[in-house]
This record gives sequence, C-alpha cells and structure tokens, in this order.
Amino acid sequence: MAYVRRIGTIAAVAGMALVLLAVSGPMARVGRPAPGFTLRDQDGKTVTLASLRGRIVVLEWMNPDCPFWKRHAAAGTMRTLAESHASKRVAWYAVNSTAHLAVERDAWAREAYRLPYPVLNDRSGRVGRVYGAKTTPHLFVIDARGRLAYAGAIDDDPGGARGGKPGGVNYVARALEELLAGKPVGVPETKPYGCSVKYAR
Amino acid sequence: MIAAAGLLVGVFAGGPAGGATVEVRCELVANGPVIGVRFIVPRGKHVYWTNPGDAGLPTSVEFRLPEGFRAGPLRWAVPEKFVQPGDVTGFGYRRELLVWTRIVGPEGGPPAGSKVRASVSWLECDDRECVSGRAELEAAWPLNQMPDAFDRWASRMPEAGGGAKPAGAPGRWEISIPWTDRSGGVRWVAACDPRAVVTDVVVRAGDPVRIGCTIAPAPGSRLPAGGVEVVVGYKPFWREMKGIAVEIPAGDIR
Repeated sequence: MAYVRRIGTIAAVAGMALVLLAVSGPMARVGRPAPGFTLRDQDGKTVTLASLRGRIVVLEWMNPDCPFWKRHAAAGTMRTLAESHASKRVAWYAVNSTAHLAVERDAWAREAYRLPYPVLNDRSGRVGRVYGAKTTPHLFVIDARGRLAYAGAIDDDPGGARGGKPGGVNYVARALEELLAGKPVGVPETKPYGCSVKYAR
Repeated sequence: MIAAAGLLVGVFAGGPAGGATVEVRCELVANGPVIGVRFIVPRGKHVYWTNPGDAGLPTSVEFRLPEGFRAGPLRWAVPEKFVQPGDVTGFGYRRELLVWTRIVGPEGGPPAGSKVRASVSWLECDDRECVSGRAELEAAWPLNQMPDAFDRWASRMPEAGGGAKPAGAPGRWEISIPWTDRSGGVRWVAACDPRAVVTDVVVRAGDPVRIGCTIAPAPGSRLPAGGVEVVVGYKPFWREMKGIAVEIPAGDIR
C-alpha cells in the first residue's frame, strides 16, 4: 500500500514538474507580465517566452478544423499581418490547444495555409488555460517588456460579413502599430469570437 | 441552397476551406399568423442563442415576406447554459430550436401561393468540432402548420415580470422577480445581446428573489443604445429551462 502511495506521490510531483515546464506565473491579465511558457513547435523545436524578451510577441490560438480560423487563414488575415511585421521586432506564433487533433495536423495546417510562423503544440491545454484562450482564433499581443498588451479578437467582423475584404478594424494590426510607435494600445481588450477552444476534459 | 416548401436544407460549411455537410436541418413552419424556423439539431450538438457566451456565433434568422407584410420581432426561447472545458461558457439549444415571429400586415395573411423566405445561418458545435451552416428557405403560403411545436416552445419563452433598479456602485443592479415556482433555483443571469456582460451575480432567495449583478459592456464593445434585456434562467425540477426577462434601461447603465 505504501509502495502504491509512493508511486502516486512520485507521479503527482512529476505531473507538477510537467506543468511548471509548460507554463509559469499567474493567469494572464492585460497590463500584467505575460505568463511564461515552454512549448514545442511543429518541428519539435523548443520555444520559450523568456527567449523572446525584447520582441513583441503575438500568440494566435488556432484550430485547423474551426470554420472561423479557416476563414481567416484562407483569406490570409493573420499571414499578411505577420509577414508585414516580420522585420519589425515582432515574433508571431500560432498555438494549437485542440486536445483531440494529431500533432501532425500542425505541420499540415502550416503548409496548407502557407503560414509563415511556427505552430506551437499545447495539446495539454495548460498554456491556453493560463492565458484564458477561449476561441479560435483568439489573439494575445505581448509587448517587448513582456507585458500582455492586447487580448481579444483579430478584428470586428465575427460573422465574416466582409468576406476577408479590407475595412473595419483589425485590432491586432492596430495594437502592433501602436506598440511599434512606442504608444500604449488604445483598445487593449476585445471580446474574442470563434469556435470554443477544444480543450481536453 | 433553397428548400422549397418544407424541410431540408443547409449545406455550406466553414468558409472557403470548408466543404463538410452540415447536419442541422431547418424548415419554415407556422401556427396561423405566427411563422417560424424550426431547427433539428443532431444529438450531442448545439446551436447558439442571440448571446452565444464566450465562444460560438448567434443563430441568425431573417424573414422576407410578400409585399405588404413584414415580420415582427423574433422570439427566442430561454437557452441552456453550457460550461465547456477551459471554463468556456456558452448559451444555446440542443436537439431542437424554434425561432418565431408574428406576421404584421393586412388581415387574412399573405395571398395563397405567395412566397415566404428566410435567410438562416448558424454554428453547430460539440466538444470536438464546430461547423457553420447557412440556408435560404423558401415556401409557399400557407406554410406547413405545426401548432404542437409552437405550443411546446411557448412554454420555453422568457416571461416578463421582473424589475431592476441601480444598486449603488457603477454598473451594479438589483433585479427582483416574484418567485411563483420555488421548486428550482436560479441557474444563470445573462444579457440577450453579446455586447453586454453580466458578472458578480449574487442571488438572495425569498419572494421576491433579489439578484445583485454587474452589467457592463463586453470588452471593446458599447452597450446597445436601447438598453439591455437580461434573462434570469431557472430550472424547475423535472422540467426544461425557464426564464424571466428583465429590461435594464439604457440611460441608467453606467
């Protein structure tokens, strides 16, 4: 019995260590330091938030089966924005917390939608839950000092009425321009829209 | 896709890269001068209320009626609240949804054979996937009469009867509702419009039930100019969700 209990304790400690490896710090809140994380991309390369300090970081929660994310991916909403800022001290990452999807789908999605940025694997959902990612897409912009500067929707077109055509407000584009100009983000939080993130139960 | 005179429909999915067949079916139905769109939702899936919650998309119905007639305000039944993994809250309907309105126009209704049309869109989801759907419905008047379905859904419409007054702090309100059915408790309080959020709900039992809550704009949103309609959802034992609608006047929301 004691043996079983010891095994259980070891497993619990190991589990906690795994959590600490994936994400650290309190829940994400706009204006506060963004929770640190360690995740692997579609090629197995380790990415930590700490290693990106000094750059503006965009985290884009994605799900290649979600019609909202697919609409934007097909229209190039995020790709165009990421490409236009690629040389401007901005690091862009997609994050996939869809528990039931095979990891291979990340590489597939990158190729199918010509994503110029890595897709980070968060199938455990630990990073997504700490950031409070609710939808796909759900965007988070972290400033160069490591503070969460924006959280919310990519734009103001939940129903896709504009069909990917320009117009309206792209909140992330605006936040990036403001941060790059050294200004505070005017609209730091919006209500995200999309499919619910399909976390593990 | 057009479904002439009856059931069937919906096919479109998921934007340019989509292509899956949508499983929700919908049809135009009527009960005298009251017309509606009835959705049949596959087991395990749900479609969304006017306020979908943290994620999802409001179901949309737009009627187009013969000349001289128009549709009144849409009526939406009290939804169920879902709490999905990751603490993602949703409001919606499982199995079936009937959205209805009353035809406004000359007595006697539209001429026989004239066309009633509805543009319908929705998002159907379960814990694993979401699929968006859209349909153009068309049927000749008189529509398929389905009084039983209307009777069934009438009992699920929000009742009027609550009152609200500011409760001191900015955005803080006290809602009071007479409690005629004490067998179940208040399950949730939510705004019908996703531009408003209701938080910090405190329920004090009694008759009337008093509910303290904070009503504020959703992040990045402005509150609707005409005020906010809030629904207090409660569930009597062994029965479906019921709700009481309370109007919060626009001028008093801070």
